[in-house]
Amino acid sequence: MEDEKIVALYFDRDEQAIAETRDKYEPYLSKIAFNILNDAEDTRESVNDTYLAAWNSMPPHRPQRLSVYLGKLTRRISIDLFRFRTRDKRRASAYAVSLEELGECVSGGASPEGEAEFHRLCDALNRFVRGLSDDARRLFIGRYYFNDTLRDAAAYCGMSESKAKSLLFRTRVSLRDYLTKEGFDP
Amino acid sequence: MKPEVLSDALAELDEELIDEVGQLRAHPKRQRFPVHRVAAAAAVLIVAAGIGVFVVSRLPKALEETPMPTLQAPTKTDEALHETQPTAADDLQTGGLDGGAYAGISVIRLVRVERFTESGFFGTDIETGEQIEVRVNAETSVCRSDTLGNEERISYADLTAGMRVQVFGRELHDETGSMELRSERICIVETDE
Repeated sequence: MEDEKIVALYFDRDEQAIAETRDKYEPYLSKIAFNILNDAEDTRESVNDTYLAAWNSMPPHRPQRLSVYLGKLTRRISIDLFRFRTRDKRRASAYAVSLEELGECVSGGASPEGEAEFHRLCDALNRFVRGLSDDARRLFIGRYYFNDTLRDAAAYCGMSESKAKSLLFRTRVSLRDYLTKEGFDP
Repeated sequence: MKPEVLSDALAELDEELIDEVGQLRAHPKRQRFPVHRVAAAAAVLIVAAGIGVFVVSRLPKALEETPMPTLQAPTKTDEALHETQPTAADDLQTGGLDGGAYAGISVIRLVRVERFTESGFFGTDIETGEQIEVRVNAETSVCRSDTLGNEERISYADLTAGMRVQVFGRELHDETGSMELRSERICIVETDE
């Protein structure tokens, strides 16, 4: 079913919307959740919470791209669950590894305070990502937004793993410099 | 700033950017054929093959062109030590031995046959005047050579006293100082008319 029709079902408060969403997006959402949680049970829970969040947010929200919207919901819910589960013990997952890598871009010092500062960071990040080459941009988003493994990201970007690794390293170094120049304390 | 904050900020990336990668994940790009790498590897192979062919083709010629080792004239000490030992220099000085067919035979003596014994014959070296005993065996070949160098195989029994023969063989000295020549080949070059 097309996304517009699925969204229309949400707006009609038709529970078929969730069944259609599951049919079309469950593997996609499960992959995003599993990359973060690295646990089948938690992944199932996170994806089910995504359907509930979608049901509760539509209406009033009408997403332009349903896949991206659902993916963002799953990512946020999974990261929250990851943080809850790992308060006491670190859990190994692709997300945990990507956090370690992103740690090279930041100092671990003071974080942006307030919503305005966070939005300024988001804008800066958008500008930085848009300024990257096609390969670097896709790889960066695949690795740090979707939290795909290096091998997977390299594969769907059509490059070797070693090339992807060096490209990501150069991108992280550039990001650190960029954030510093933009006045953030990375 | 903590990496988690950066990760959270990534969630706010523009949807079109995320969607682009989402589509890519669903329909992965085929890995580009590494044309430049294949071309570079092919170039290296071609150069290596060229060098290999060149070396192989030059090898026989190079071997032919390799100069023979220079033979040093023996010192007196060497002469004393190896007086009875044939040397390559001997072979060269005598002009080689029948085109190399008798390579390894140490000397050629031009001998006048004087008298026969059970094991061969006695003769005089025409150049040095030395008395030489020539021993023959079943392996010794005997031939007659004309002035043009044509050779005719003959029997040992055809040899008679007074003949001038070339004796190809190995010199041996015993403790009395007398010399005998163990011959592998005898060639009649001139009869004593």
